[in-house]
Amino acid sequence: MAVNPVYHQTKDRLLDEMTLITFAKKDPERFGPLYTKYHEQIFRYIYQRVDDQELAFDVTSQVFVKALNNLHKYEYRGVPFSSWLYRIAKSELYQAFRDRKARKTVNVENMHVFEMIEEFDEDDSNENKKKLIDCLANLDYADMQLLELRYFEKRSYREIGEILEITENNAKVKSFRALKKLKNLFVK
Amino acid sequence: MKNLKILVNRERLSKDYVQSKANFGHVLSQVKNLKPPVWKTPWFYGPIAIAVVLISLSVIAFQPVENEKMATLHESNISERSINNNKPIIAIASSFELDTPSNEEIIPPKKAGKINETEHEEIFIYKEVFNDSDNLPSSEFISPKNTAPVKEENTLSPYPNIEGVFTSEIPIDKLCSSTGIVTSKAKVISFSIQYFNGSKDVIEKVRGSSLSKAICNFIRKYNLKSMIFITSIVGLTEKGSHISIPSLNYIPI
Repeated sequence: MAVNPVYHQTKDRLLDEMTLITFAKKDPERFGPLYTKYHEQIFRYIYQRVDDQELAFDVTSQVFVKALNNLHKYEYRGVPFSSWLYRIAKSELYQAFRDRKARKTVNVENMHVFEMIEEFDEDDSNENKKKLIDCLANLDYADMQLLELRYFEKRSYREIGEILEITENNAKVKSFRALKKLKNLFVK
Repeated sequence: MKNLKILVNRERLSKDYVQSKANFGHVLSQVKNLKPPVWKTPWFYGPIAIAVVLISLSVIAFQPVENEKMATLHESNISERSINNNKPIIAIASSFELDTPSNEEIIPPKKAGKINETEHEEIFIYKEVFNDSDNLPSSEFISPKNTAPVKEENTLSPYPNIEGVFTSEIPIDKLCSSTGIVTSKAKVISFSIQYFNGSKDVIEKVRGSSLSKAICNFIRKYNLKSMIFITSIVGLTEKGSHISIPSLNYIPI
């Protein structure tokens, strides 16, 4: 499975990033490079989960406002800065669902549907595709989120763990269970 | 279907389009315009701090007044005590005058077995005084035996006690003394006592302020070094009203 290149960085790059954060803590205007670096991936993470494009841009903007406002609290713990941003994004998304009555959305590509049907050892028929989409809609949001992160966004278990604030192993187990639940729904 | 919308093959936004929407200046201005939450502002802590200071000051300011009141009360107690020491019978008589309107009412019902000796003695004194109520009662009527100025010291305390012992261990002789339960608030007229009578725990209602000989014998025999409870203590105030007095626990030794 392909990995997210922006997330997986070398130690040197992580240290460079830490230097940028240190400068930004002193002067918010020096947060610019980090904003440029992460804006797109945070936007895509949010846009993947909401229907409205403008809302996605708005929530993305809020994520960076919050990040900049709380940058003094950020501590480097060996994980990329993006995982901290993803956590903020996750919380801002929930707030948008709650306050702005935004509808929880899942973006699925034909390719993902095909991969999943293959995983279930079923025929790649239109009927099966429709059935799988119905099953996805009936899945719990927590399970859906795990499948989304793992199978649609192709994130590593480590990254999933850091975004959802669980361990890598837990992320693996939970993803597997979520897939099993989907399979059970599909086979029924 | 739940509150989950599934979109299939939604058009992917181009990188350039997403980047064109990035506006760091707007984020920066939003951060600058962001007001700290109310609880982080001095406007929130200021009034709280002022309120705390004011409350502390008022507590400190009012405490001396209470202390003064206590001191005054203590002084009045002392002066009362000195008067009592000089003319105890007058004091008792005058207090009794408030309690009872006529001579007849002060004579206790003749249940000699239940009324203890102390009560008899005191009532005798009252009678003596009131029989000569036309004249002012004077020290001539006072027998030195009945004045018992030493015992009066105990009655100064507003808390009930027996011979100056308030709780815990008490020598059996003190417990069974004729003085009984005393308090400055009122004259004890009845109480309940819980003790072991050799076969079981009993609760006995006692009229008067001291223990009867029978109870004392049981306590002496079966309750040494074990706790006895004196509860439901009823006192008669100077104004003639009945009041409930806090309970006592003793370990007779």
